[in-house]
Amino acid sequence: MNRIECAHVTYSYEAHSRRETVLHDLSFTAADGEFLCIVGQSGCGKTTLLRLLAGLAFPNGGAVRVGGAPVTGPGTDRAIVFQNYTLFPWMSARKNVMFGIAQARKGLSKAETAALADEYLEKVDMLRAADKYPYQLSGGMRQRVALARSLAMDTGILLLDEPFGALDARIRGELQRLLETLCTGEKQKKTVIFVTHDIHEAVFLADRVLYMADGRIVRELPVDLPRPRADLCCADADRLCAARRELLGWFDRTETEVQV
Amino acid sequence: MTLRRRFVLVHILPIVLIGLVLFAPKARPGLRPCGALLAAAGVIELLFLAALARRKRAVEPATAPCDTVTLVWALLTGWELATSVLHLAHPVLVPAPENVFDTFREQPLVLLRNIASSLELLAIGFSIGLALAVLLGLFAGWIPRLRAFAYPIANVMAPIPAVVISPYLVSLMPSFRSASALVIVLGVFWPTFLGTINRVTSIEPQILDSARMLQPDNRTMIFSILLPYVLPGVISGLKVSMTTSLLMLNFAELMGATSGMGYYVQNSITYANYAHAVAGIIVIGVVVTVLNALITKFQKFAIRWH
Repeated sequence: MNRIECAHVTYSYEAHSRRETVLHDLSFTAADGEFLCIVGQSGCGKTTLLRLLAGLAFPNGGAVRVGGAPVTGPGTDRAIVFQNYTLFPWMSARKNVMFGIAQARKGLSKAETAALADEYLEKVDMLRAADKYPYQLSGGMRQRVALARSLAMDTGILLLDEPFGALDARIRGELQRLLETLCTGEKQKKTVIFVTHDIHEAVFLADRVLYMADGRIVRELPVDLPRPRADLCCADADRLCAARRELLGWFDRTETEVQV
Repeated sequence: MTLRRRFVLVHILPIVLIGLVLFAPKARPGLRPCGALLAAAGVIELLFLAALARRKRAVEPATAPCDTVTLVWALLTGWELATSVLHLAHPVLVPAPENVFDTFREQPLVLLRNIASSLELLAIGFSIGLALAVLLGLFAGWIPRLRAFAYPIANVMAPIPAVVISPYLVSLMPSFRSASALVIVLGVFWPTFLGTINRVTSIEPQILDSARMLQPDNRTMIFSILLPYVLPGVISGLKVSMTTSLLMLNFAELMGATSGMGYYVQNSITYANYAHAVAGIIVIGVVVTVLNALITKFQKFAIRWH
């Protein structure tokens, strides 16, 4: 149902009468309910890949399928959170969440929508700031509200494009734990595609990490650790560190390859 | 300089002025009573005190209101000296301040009627022009086919000053009032229309993507996303367009109108009543200032989220 599939996807665009190829024959599958992190250096095509999954752009070759059906455009079966500006600055936190609900779950009354919005704001601990406008919120609070809106839309798929990239380390850690709690429990399992260049974040959150370089998925690393991962026992914590080291090694290797 | 010392210094000139008005021997014939001039001086003093009281104590020193009011007093005193007291200026072309301000006492209703007439035209033309421009601009900005068609036209039309076509419009339209309203509509429409299209097309890409992910229909997209997005730009353009509309209106009223502030000035000049003409010009300045202050208030209210 919420399976995501990319088969031999190619994406290129015309710039200054030169063809720039961003994605080369890229294939992967995300199983229903899988938490997938896509890492890679800047400019490797991570964000482009996410835009294809979102239906905001279309591949030149190959196929992107969600739940077995080819993606024909944006849809309310997928929710997205960007690094900035996911929220509409002219709506209060509550109105932002309500707008998302109203678009994704048609047929709810205004009172039901408002109640649902408050419920999700509560989940991300933002109910106290429900009437504030985004400019009155800190970066972390804004991302909490953005997360609340995406979750409240009750989609099976969540797409995240470096959502915590602009936050400081402490807030980032808080939000990673929050995201893990909200998206990986048995009852509320979602298929999550999380784009990041933070290795620690990727290993902490993912069921599987895909490593992208030059528009291809070059390696993958399953992270088979129990959740919640904030309090792993010693042996598991060691495995987490090992996974992180391995990933770091990939990054370093590409860098030397580039230098050569 | 301490505030007290500055305060005393600022009041030297008005005391000189009042002394001149009340006690200096007047050399000029046809001088009218000075009550209205003194009342105007009182209003200026009140406005000055209000400006002093409203400034944020720690941030702004008292210099700006003091400097401004000193310039006003200097102009008034020089004017009084040159006309009533020393009789240096041309007796008809440069009316004495007594005579100018006496106009407000002499015919307040006439002035008010002309203000109302101008403001009514302004309100009609301005609201039609603005509403049409924003609405059509949103659609033209959002729908590519419409934009490809409308954008070049707007680019040609927007720079043509509506003032230039206003004499033709006055001849073309059935009544003077409809012509004036149309001048304002045109003057407001093209720049606002072009500005709205530009703002829609330069929308923050992440906001646009974020909106598209929610799959809004065209109506929701235009009224819930694009309209609030362009609104701050439109409202900050409001002051300029309001001032230019008033300018165009007053210009249009110079020909063929039977009421309005521009008409009042023009009519007074026709009958060589320059005191009334200057009074009319002062009224126009006051009206523009008040309108701008109102827009600023509205701006703060309408974009609380900014």
